[in-house]
Amino acid sequence: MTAADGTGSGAMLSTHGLHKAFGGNVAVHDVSLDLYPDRITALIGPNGAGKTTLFNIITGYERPDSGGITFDGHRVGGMAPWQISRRGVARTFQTPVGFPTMTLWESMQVAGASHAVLTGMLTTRGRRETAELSRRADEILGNLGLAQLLDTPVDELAAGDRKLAELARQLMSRPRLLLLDEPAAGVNPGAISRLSDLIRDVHRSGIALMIIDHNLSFVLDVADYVHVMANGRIIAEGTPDEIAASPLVRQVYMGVDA
Amino acid sequence: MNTLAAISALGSPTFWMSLFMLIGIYAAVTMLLNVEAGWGGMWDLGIVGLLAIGSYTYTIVTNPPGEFDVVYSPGWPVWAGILAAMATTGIVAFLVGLPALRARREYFLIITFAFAEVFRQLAINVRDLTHGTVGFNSVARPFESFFEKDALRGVLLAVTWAAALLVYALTRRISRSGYGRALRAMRDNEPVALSLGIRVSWLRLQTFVLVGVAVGGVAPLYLWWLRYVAPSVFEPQFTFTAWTALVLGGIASRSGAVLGVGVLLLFTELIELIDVPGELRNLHVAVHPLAIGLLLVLVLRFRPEGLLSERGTFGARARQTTALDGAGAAVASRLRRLSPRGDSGKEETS
Ligand SMILES: Nc1ncnc2c1ncn2[C@@H]1O[C@H](COP(=O)(O)OP(=O)(O)OP(=O)(O)O)[C@@H](O)[C@H]1O
Ligand SMILES: [Mg+2]
Repeated sequence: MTAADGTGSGAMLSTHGLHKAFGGNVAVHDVSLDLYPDRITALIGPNGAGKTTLFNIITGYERPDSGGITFDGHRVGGMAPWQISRRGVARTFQTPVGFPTMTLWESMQVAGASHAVLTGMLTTRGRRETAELSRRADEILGNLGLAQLLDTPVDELAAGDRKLAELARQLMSRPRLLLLDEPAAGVNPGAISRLSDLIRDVHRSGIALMIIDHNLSFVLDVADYVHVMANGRIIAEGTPDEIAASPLVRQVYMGVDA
Repeated sequence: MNTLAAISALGSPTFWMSLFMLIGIYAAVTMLLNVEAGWGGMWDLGIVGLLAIGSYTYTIVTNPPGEFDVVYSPGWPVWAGILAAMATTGIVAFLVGLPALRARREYFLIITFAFAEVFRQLAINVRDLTHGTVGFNSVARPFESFFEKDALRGVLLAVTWAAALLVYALTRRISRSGYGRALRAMRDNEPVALSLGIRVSWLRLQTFVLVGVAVGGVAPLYLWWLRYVAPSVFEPQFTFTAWTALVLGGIASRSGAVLGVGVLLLFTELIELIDVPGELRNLHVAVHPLAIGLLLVLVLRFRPEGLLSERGTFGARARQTTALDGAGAAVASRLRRLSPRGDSGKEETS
């Protein structure tokens, strides 16, 4: 099975021949992949493979040199990040900085509120909206086990909690697809299995997921399907078992990273 | 002798009236600057330019026809002048913001500064409309036929403070709204703000225009107190004073702008009052900015965030409901208990 064989039927997100170079450095080379909502998809590969760049292209932060993206059957290539977000694609960032001047609870209130000057300030809507947002924030923070940290300033959170806070905040925008860039980085090893559970819960709640991570045991445990990227190309894909058994993957991935 | 003169000035109602008038005006402008720069992260170094646009618009359209040798003098009433000032300033903010807000923060600072200076040069040179460096030595004021001179000053002071209060209410509403959070989110981390669906560039432009319209509304108040308009009124000094007050009071804190303006203006006006013999006059003038710098350094040395801080406005307290919300909830629960169709009633039927 290759990336190009599916026509994207049933796929929530498809990329077609994405290509992106920075100067002479080709970060993403002819990447076509389909993402199905009913399985957790992972994207692995050595440092500099182009994984984050691919996320950046999908979410509108980088403009591809060529190729296209469809989400839900609509072309979203060339849209601005806020437009793609409003269509239901959320993402986290590899380095979780968030909103350093806000408390965790406050940063949860950013998503989902009306942002424009007038609609954002109108009384009745604002009040009802605030109550609804608070309820949802409490629920999400409770699910992620962050409830007791809600008054903590974001920049005072421990690294692992910050990763979770990042996830919690993006969930506030009610995404249909969530792209997680290294959610396990900085999370202490003991908490990884709990993170896997949380991620499965998120997926079970009806949100399609794609995860980048370097922690192979975590990825192979949580994902249902894995794409392997190296030097900008998708070099292999398959179930976690297939990937774990693939000599090519062992050579390329482990060879560089270990 | 000198001390005596200073003390007698301290006791004069004119001094305090002037000081409070100035505080009201600067507070309004500085609170608006805080929305834009403190919360929105748009470092506007040309806010005096917006004030100038509003001031000139107001004066030109309200001047009695024929009183000044200028090409346009429709002689509108005061209220129309205020609306015209707000509209014009908003439009100019839109036109300046459209290109300027695309630039990075540091360049935005330079562009806005340049815009204010360019406008001041225009005011000097487009004499047919602005009366050049001389400007206008009278300004239409409201209520002039109802009150005699001293009472009118009191009334205008009250109007100015009412306007400042209105601006405070506006910033309070913003600070608690989705709009306010989006502003701070965009300032803190633009990529993340974008990922939450915030249309950053549009939000910036809207905010710049909002601030423009509001500053346009404050401009006439300033003129009622000054009673003249000239390019020299709109030198960068005004912007620097507002910025100094903002940093002093605590940038991005809600009340900091007001506190900063109060402390700074009281400080500078008191220095001004010190009466020095003629041979020391030059020194006195030179010491003025030095003293402000010293005040700023001292405050920032001991309170780096300023007298008040953003966390004071938005920290853990932001989550707490206000007294009014609490009272509303209490009444609602009382009503629910009283109502026959309340929860307990339902339990009985099921
Ligand atoms: N904005 C940019 N400008 C120039 N080069 C870039 C830029 N972003 C990424 N690159 C380059 O593109 C290549 C792919 O980078 P990318 O961050 O996508 O890798 P990655 O797979 O996410 O790696 P890691 O596992 O280290 O996060 C790298 O060689 C990187 O240096
Ligand atoms: Mg990366």
